[in-house]
Amino acid sequence: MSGESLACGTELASLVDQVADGVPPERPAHQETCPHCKATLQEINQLWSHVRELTREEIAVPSGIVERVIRRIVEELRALGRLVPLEAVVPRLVRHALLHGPGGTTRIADRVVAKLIARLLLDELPGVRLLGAGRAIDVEITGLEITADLRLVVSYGRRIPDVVAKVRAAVIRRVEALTGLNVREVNIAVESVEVDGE
Amino acid sequence: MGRTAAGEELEFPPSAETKHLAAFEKLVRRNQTVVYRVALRMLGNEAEAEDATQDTFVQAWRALPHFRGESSFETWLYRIVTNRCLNLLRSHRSTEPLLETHEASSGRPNHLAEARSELDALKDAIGRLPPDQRATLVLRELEGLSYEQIAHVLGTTVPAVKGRLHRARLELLHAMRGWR
Repeated sequence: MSGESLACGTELASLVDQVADGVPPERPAHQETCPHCKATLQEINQLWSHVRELTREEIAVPSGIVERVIRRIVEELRALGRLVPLEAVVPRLVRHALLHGPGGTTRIADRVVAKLIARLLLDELPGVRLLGAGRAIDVEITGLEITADLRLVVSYGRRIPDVVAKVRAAVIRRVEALTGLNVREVNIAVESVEVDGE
Repeated sequence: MGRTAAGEELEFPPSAETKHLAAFEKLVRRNQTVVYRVALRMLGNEAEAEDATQDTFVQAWRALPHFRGESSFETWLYRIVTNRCLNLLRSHRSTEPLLETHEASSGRPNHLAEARSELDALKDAIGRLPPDQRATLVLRELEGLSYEQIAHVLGTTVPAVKGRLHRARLELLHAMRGWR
C-alpha cells in the first residue's frame, strides 16, 4: 500500500501526512489546480475531521477503579508479609500542585512553596532560623494540599513552644494566601539552640 | 489505624507506607482517565479496558522502585498500559473479533453501514488495524504524543514510529473508502 500514487503522480501518503500532521504541501502550486489532488485532499480532510471528533469524545471512566486498585495492592502487600519500601520514590512523583481554571492550568512546584517559607522565616520571624545543613524545608504536595517539614534553630532564651506556634501559624497564613493551596500540616523539628551573635 | 480508599482497616499504624499508598492513590485517581481511554481505544471493549486499567496501576505500583523519573510519570503509564494491551491483543486476538461491534459488521460492512455513523465506522477501522499500528495511531492521533514519546513508549525508534503511522493512516483511508 505504501508508495501508492494518484493519477497525477503525487504520493497518497504525502497528502495524508499533510492533513494529519498539518505540514505544508510538497507541491503547493500543483495541488491548487490538480483535480486528483483536490478530490483526494477533500476525502482525507473529511476522514480526519472524524479522527479529531474522536479525540473530543467524552469517555466515562467506570467508577471504583481507584478503590479496586488500592485493594489489590493492599492484598498483595499482606500476602507478601512485608511492605515495599517506597520512601525514596513516591514523594518524588508528586512535586507540584495543579490548579485547573477556566483559562488554563497553573502548576505550582514544591520548591516554590519552600522558597516562600524560607523568605518568610528570614524576613519576618526573629529568634528563629532554618537549620543550615541539608534540606531544612521539605514540602510535599498531594493534590491541592501541602505538608511542610521544617528543621529549625531557635535563639537561646526564646520559649520554644511559642516560637514554634508562631512559625506554624505564619507559614500556614502566608502559604495559603500566596498560593491558594491548603496547608494541611506544618511539622517542625527544633534541631538546635544558639546564642545570638555566636 | 490507617485506612485505604475502600475504608478498610490496615494492620499497621499510619506509617511511611500508608502515606505512600495514600500518595499513590491520588496518582491513580489523577491518571485513571488517560489510562482507561488508551485501553478502551486499544481493546475496544469496556470490561477489558477496565481490567487493563487496574492491571496497569498495580503493575505501576510494583515497578515504582524502578521509576527513575527519566520520563514523566504519565509517559511511564502510557508505556505500561500500551504494552499491557499489546500483550493482550497478541495473546488472544487471532480468532476473536477486535471490537464487540465487529461481530455485527465483519464481512458485511457496506450492508450494515447505513444504520451506523461514520464515527462508529472509524472506530471499527481503528479496531481492525494490526496492534502495533493501532497503538501508534492511538498515541499519536488520539493522545497527541510526539514521535519521540511514542518511540519511548513502544520501545522502538522514531523512523519505525513514522513508518507504522504511515501505514495506519493509509489503512484507515482505505477502510473508510470501503465503508462509503
